[in-house]
Amino acid sequence: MKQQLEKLNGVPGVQGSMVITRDGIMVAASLGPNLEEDAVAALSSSLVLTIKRGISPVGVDLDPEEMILTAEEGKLIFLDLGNAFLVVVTQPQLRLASGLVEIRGIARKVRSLCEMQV
Amino acid sequence: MGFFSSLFSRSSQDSSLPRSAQKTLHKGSEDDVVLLARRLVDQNQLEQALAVLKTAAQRFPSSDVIDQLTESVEESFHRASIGGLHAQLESDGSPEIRAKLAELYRRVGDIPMAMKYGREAIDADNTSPVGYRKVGRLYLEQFRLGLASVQGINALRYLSKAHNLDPRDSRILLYLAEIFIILRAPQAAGRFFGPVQRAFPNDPHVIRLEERIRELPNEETSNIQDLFLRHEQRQSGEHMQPAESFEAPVELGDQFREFGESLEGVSGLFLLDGERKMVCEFSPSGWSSDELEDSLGVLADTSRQNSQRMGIGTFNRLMVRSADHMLVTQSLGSELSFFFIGDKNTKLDEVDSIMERAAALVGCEKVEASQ
Repeated sequence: MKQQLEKLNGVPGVQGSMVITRDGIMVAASLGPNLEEDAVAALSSSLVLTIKRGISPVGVDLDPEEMILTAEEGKLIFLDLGNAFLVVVTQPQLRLASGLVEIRGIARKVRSLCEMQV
Repeated sequence: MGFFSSLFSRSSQDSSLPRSAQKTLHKGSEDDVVLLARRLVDQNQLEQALAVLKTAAQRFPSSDVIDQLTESVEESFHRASIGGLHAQLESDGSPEIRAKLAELYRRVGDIPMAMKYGREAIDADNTSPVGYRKVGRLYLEQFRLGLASVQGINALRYLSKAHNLDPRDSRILLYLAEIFIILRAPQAAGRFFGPVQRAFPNDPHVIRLEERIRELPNEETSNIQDLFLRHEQRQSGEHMQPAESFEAPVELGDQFREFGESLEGVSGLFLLDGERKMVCEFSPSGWSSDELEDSLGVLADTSRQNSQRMGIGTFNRLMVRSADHMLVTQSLGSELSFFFIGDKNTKLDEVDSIMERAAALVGCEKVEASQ
């Protein structure tokens, strides 16, 4: 899995990536030195929980398959792997149209690895 | 002695001391007892020295000399034990040895090493609660010190896992209760504290926690994100600028309706201000702003705060796709949050266009476009 994450990090614009369980525990990570793995894992998970609750009061289940959070200094891309999430940190100027194609491709391989481990 | 008194106290072995030493310990002056302890330290009998100092602390509770000597001997004892455990590690790969090492490093203040061995205990056996308990406790200690809420989130995560693996472990229940006490959530704390209180009602530590819980007002929410957000705001309250309520332009309501009607697949458009109040809404699905105001407000705050904490700067936009729906939340300036909720196949460039127009109406300059 670490190999796939390192391959993912080779995609232009990607700064780091990690796999976290649905309850926010890190499975594998290859983040840059400026990013704290535990913090990104815990905060990503808390964001997913908050999103799921976001419109639950009106009876809509928003179980994320894909999320993109854009901020001034980077983007966070979350992809659902079934029993885990792939979290990819990119530079802010990453063109999603092209970058996502490669990221999704590698995510499929990571998903199959997650399924094997379960 | 209560369960937790014994758990948090040092071991007692003064019965193995010669009779004359026992006499000094139980009847001698403070100076004599300190001298006895120092002699044991010089003879490298650290465990016995600690037992003597424990008894001395009960006889002379306000003695600084005894407290300082105890601290120093404890550190030496733990460091000596660390060496022994490292040797054992070569032949014993169990999580328990690693957890003991984590605990000893914690006691000598080496938190990175404590965390390393705590994680190794998890790796050694992820069906054992031991490693999760150790790591969770380390995060709890950092959370107690008033460090970032993410430490509390981590503590909750690891201790919840430990609790799932061993629901009857009183230490885990106590740590979980403490997280909620720090978050000022007595009802949540009570769920974990209750079994411990029933089992050890007269334990001094349990009694102290019971008093702390009793002093707290009810939390009025069961939303964990809300509890952590409130905790963060209390921690940084003196530095935070109060949120300003937003005065919506008169035409905003009509424009909002126009935006919504021009877009296919809309379930709701919402605009919240910095006080998490609904400023404007359009909801052909008939959703009530009362129902959504709180949860969307929490989502807006969480997105903003977590972006900063993750090290990617000021939050701009969040796009979420589920099996059937899409949610886009856009920050408009420093206070406003715009929400689009609709069919997952809604064209993003059409959502972008509406957000640009909404931004212009409320006087914001730039909106991040989807790519």
